[in-house]
Amino acid sequence: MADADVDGSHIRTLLLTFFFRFMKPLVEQGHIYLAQPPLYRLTKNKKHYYAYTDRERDNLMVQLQNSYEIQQYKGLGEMDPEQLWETTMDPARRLMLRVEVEDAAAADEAFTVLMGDKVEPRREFIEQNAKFAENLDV
Amino acid sequence: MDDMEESSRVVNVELEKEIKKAFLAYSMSVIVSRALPDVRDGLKPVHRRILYTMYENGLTPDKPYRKCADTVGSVLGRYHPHGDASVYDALVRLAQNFSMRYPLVDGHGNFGSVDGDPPAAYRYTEARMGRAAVEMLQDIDKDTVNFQPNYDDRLKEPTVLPSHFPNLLVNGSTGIAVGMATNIPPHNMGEVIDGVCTLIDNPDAGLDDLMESIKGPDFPTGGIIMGRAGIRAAYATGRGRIIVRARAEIEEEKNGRSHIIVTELPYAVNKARLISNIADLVKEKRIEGISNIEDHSDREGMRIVVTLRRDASPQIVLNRLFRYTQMQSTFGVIMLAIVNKEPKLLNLKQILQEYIKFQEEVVRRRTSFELKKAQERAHILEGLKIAVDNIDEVIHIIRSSKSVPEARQNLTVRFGLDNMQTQAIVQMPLGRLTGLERAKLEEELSGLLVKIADYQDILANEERVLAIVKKEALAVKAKFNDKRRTEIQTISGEMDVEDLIPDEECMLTLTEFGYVKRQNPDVYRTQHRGGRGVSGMTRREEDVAAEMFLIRTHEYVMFFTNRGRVYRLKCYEIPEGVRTGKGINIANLLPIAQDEKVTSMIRVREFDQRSCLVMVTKNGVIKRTQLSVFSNVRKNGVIAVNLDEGDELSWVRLTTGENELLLATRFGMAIRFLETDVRTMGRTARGVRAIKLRKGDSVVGLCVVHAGDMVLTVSETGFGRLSPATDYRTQHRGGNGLLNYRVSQYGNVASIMMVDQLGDDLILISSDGIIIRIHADSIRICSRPAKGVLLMRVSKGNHVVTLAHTTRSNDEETSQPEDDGSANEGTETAEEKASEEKGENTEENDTENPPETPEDNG
Repeated sequence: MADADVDGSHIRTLLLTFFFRFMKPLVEQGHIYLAQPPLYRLTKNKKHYYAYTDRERDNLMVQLQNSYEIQQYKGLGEMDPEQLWETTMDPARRLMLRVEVEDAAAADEAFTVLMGDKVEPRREFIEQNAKFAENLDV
Repeated sequence: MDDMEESSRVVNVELEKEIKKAFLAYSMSVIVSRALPDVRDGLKPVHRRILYTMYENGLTPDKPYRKCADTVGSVLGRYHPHGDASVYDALVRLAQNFSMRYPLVDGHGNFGSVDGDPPAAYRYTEARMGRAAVEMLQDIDKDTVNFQPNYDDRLKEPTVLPSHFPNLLVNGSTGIAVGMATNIPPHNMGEVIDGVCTLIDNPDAGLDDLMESIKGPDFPTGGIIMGRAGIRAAYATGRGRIIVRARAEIEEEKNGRSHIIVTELPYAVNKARLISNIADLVKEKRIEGISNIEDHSDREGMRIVVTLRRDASPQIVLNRLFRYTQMQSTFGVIMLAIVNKEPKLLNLKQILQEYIKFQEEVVRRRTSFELKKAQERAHILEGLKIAVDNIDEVIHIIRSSKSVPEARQNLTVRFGLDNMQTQAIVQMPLGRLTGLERAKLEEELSGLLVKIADYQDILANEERVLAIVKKEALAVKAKFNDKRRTEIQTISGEMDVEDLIPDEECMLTLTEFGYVKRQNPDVYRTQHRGGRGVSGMTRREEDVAAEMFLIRTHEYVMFFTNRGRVYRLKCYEIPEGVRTGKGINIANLLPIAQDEKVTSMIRVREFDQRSCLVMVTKNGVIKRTQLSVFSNVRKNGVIAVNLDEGDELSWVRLTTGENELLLATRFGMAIRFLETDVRTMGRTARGVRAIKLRKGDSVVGLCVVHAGDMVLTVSETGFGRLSPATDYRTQHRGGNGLLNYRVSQYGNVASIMMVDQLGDDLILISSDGIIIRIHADSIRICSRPAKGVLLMRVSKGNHVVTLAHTTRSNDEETSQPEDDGSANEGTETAEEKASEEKGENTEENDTENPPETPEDNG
């Protein structure tokens, strides 16, 4: 579980790298799950709506029209324990992403490019894929 | 586990995809909106947010300081949902006068130091906008830049600041993103703005044109940039390596001990860490010769004193400090910035172009904004004017209306006025109806109409926009222009610098003790008649000029050492000295070893194919090498001759390839031969025998013979004799040579010299440091191997060691040789004569007095 912002993404890559390199069986057997805390909370008439992506937020904003209050979660620390339970922890309601390895070789290569010690291939990757990036913190 | 399986809300994600997605999200946001500056205002988001917050809080330079905690809190709460430490660190950097060339924040309190001391916590320090920041934010309220919602959609923040000076270049930037980084050095405000103007005036200006204004980076910490090649590369391509050195001077104490004084460091070098590094290197014996290091820096300035051991060569120690410590550091320029939300590597011209483009937009948007405001005002004024012109009717309409909205409605119907105008009319105070106010109204309206026309003209005319950009930039320059702090130094071998140095004649002197000096030859010419004469150098008492010649500043000087190495400098690299200065120790210019001594200095006009260098060692080995072989001498010197164990290179002469040479030995032999008798050899060859030496004998002199010259022979006992060059007949090299002096009777030969101008003076120095100066023409001309006259009375146990010549001085200190009438003693006997082809006796009378010193007026 990490913050839902880009720094959370960074932590996620670091943790996944750690599990993949040093506790590979955990990954292989599918024991690694990514928790999905929400990115925004929209409040209207004391009812809360959670958005997990910018697109969801935009949809909600259209849905709710005016007079809503929006809160961006910059970190898990901003949530009350109850909220965290509601949105992220409650098995009945939460969304979990289970990490699985379909192509171990491809995954291995991805880790080498992204987290390896050579800068050049990393930059090439970023340049090639720059337009696919989403959730930017601008 | 169980409840996870129960849950329907588990989605499988492929590891590879997930990591790529997460990584991209992070890396792209770091690149685009965290670590890299925008090309337009040169700011990263955090800096922009700090400055804008300070602007909103009204912390202009004319207001009192405010606690940094307040500013940091405002920045966090309004625009920057990240750590307080990151905001405060960024704020502190903006205030540090050793990080920023033109600080954007004016700090009060402890903001850290070049020693890497941390700043005080933000509850202690205070800050407000710096003067430069005002220029960054000027016109931001005039719709000059776009705004975007902040993180919680509560406020709007600018996406870029109007930036009335090219902050990206002026203050530079450093940042490490992911997969890429930026490192832009700071520059001088005046230079960069001149560069902007150059490019506005001539959009096709090339790098050379721009570099006429923008000479190179200008660091707040000063220092010295070594060479222009790196700067050029950086400006041409966006990448380059610039070598920056600390400013260091060598101070010599009277007792011979020297100190290296460091007063400026390369940019971003931590002084405390540097000093401890030097101390470690001394402890590990990687740098030798340092006995102490102290930091004398205070609020007035920096001063690190490195005290050297007495036996250390300051230049060598300094060079090692440059090599092994951060006293020399490389600034790796990477001019990467965000252009249209994408990172881009830019060259100098592109940065300036982007900036000009942005400024054009700022000016245009500001003008539109002002136009709109003026038009609105004019519109209202026109309404008022109608009202005033028809005031009775207007009053009637208002009085007859039930309410304000009705009155306005009626006015609209009657005069065709719109909402805004009727609003203004109903709010108009009665005082406006006086005649004076009416005139004012008209005046304001006509003024506005002129302005409106002007604004419309600006917007329609790109040239006018550019002219305004230029005018405003120059206004900023006038406010902030200051002297460049970083010196850009020429290093030899770089061609472009020579254009800047006038090619003029100068006098170069090398002394026996290894001091070299370059002087304007005029100082020798401007004497008045009857003057006392000028002594070429004042130096340590017994030090005299060993070599002295006229040379042009663009010519090369070659220095040969006793160890057979050769170094080369351009003449202009030798510092110009005042006439009475002792010059600079050659060890400061050349990386020579402790016990290495420069024995010859040669002027080289050009490395042509014909000229040759003739080298002679103490042990009589001669080598002739084409000068052109030495056309590529490295900075660290190269071997000029391979010496035998214990031998020393003592003489080097430049010859035409057709000269004759004369060598003399300590034990009184001399040999003259054609230089072509020595075949030319490669650079590192050992050479061949010049003269057969008896055991214990050594060479004491080498001359290039010119017809008509006199050969001066001086004995260690102080006797001297001039003989015509023709007295020495040409032989083959490698033989015993001719008898030059009867050493068993009159003492060993100290030195020989060609004297071409009898008007010159000669200087003799004895081993106990006594110097004597005599006119050359006062010495008796005798044939070889006569004893000659006593030039110098040498006390027991001492002997003559050095012979030098200099221009005539009419001093009373000049000595006269003592002629006891035995000058011709020791001329060859009949048998000796017979053993040679031709014997000569002196034609001069023994009892003749020495010739009188001719009148000399300097």
